[in-house]
Formats: sequence, structure tokens, C-alpha cells
Amino acid sequence: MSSYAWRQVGLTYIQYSNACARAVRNSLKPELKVDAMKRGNSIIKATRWEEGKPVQGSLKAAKGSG
Amino acid sequence: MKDDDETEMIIALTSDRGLCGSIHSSVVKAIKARLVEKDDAKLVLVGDKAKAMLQKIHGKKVLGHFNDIGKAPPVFQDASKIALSAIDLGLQDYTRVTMYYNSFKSVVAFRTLKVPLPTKNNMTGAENYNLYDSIDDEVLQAYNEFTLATMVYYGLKEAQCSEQSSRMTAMDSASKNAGEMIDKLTLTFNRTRQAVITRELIEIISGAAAL
Repeated sequence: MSSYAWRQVGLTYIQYSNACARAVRNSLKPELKVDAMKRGNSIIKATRWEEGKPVQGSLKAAKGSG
Repeated sequence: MKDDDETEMIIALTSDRGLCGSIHSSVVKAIKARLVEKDDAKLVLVGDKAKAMLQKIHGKKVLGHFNDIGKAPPVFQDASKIALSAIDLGLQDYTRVTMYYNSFKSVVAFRTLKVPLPTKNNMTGAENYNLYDSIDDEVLQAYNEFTLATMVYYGLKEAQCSEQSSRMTAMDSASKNAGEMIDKLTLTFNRTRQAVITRELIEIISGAAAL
């Protein structure tokens, strides 16, 4: 199989899988959607370190939605 | 020496909140012991507790850290972010990647374990790799990335479970100890009070008898 479309635009499999999961959650019926949307929310923050000090520049993860 | 060529990345799973017994310190202790053996290992710290304990001495080895962990149950999205950041920080170039976490044994017991995480090179270099027919490189990379996120998710879940049960036992024994202390001090208080009253009575009576 040649290169995947999502790999060619620079996504990793994890980002691809999360995007698919988001799409599935969005397509659920309203009663089930409420609980499912909570599973998509992540509050953890990432900070890169350089020379023993945290640096403001966030890691790629923080840009990912969710 | 062969060991000098090998690079190691250590991922520590703790959280931000305390009052949970020895959960965080046992993970940090295991990591410090490993850092004595392998001085040039790099650290990815999940949770403020690990950061606080390791940044003084091993601050130069930290590649990145995560916070706001522990407030809510971990979701796969958290594990994805950690795995993506680790890949961003160069995980695939390391010879060995190890994750330290607390595994849930029972409500009153947990174990600090380390589990190796697969990098792409580890997978292609594995012993049983040749048993499989022509694995597509694309598929392997996708599988590797997903396995990383899944294993981090597993570690996060186990760690949170151990932490909650440890916090429960720690707070339970703290309350029990406080209760025992209250009982003992109440007895002492009553005894002292009665002694003071008795002394006053004796003074009054001996004063009256002297008249």
C-alpha cells in the first residue's frame, strides 16, 4: 500500500485515529453524544524543557484539539 | 563500551496532587536508582509531583513535562498527547524507552513497575519479526504509534487507580490516628482538670482549717 493520505499531509496515526473518533462522536444520537463528548476532552498541558528550564513553546500535543 | 551507544528515554507517570501516601515518591525512587546506573538517560515527566522531585538534581535531563493530570480520569486523548509529544521529542531515535508507573495490586497495595515501550527500531529488530510475512513499513509505523498511545493509556489508568486507592488508605489511617490522638488527649485533659480542682479544694480546706 502506498503512503496514506494522512501521512502525506504530516499526520501521525494517533492524530488520524483521534480525528476519526471525533467524527464518530459527532455523529452519535443526542442522548449518547453527551457522554461521548466528555471522553474527547483532555485538559493536560505539555511544556518543552531546555537546559533544565521549562520553555514557553508548547509541544505539538498542545495544538491538537480535544 | 557497548552501553555508551545506547540512549534511553524514561517516561514517569505521576500526577499533580498529593496526600496519597508513597505513590509519587516510589516512582521517583525507581527512576533515581536507574539514573545512577545510566547517567545520560532523558526524562519525560507526567505530573507536577515528578517534576518537583526531579528538577533540582536532574533538571538538565528533562525533555518535557505535563501537568493538569489527576483532576479527571485519564482519557485516550491524554495518552495521545503524551505519546505525540514523546515522538516529537525524538522517541523514535532512542535505543530504549521505559515507562515507570504504579500498578494496582489491591486496595491496600500497589507496585511500581517499569515497562519497555516499543520504538520502530525495536519492532523491526525484535526476535520474532521474521515470523511475519513482509510487513509494510507504513503499517508498522502506524501500529507502532498507536501501540505507544495505548500503552501510555494503560499506564495512566493503572497509575490513577493505584493513586486513588492509596489516597483512600492514607486518609483513612490519618483519620484513625487523629481519632486515637483525640481520645488519648481527652483522657489527659480530664485528668488534669480533676487534678486542678482537687488542688484548689485542698488549698481552700487547709486554708479554712488554719483559721
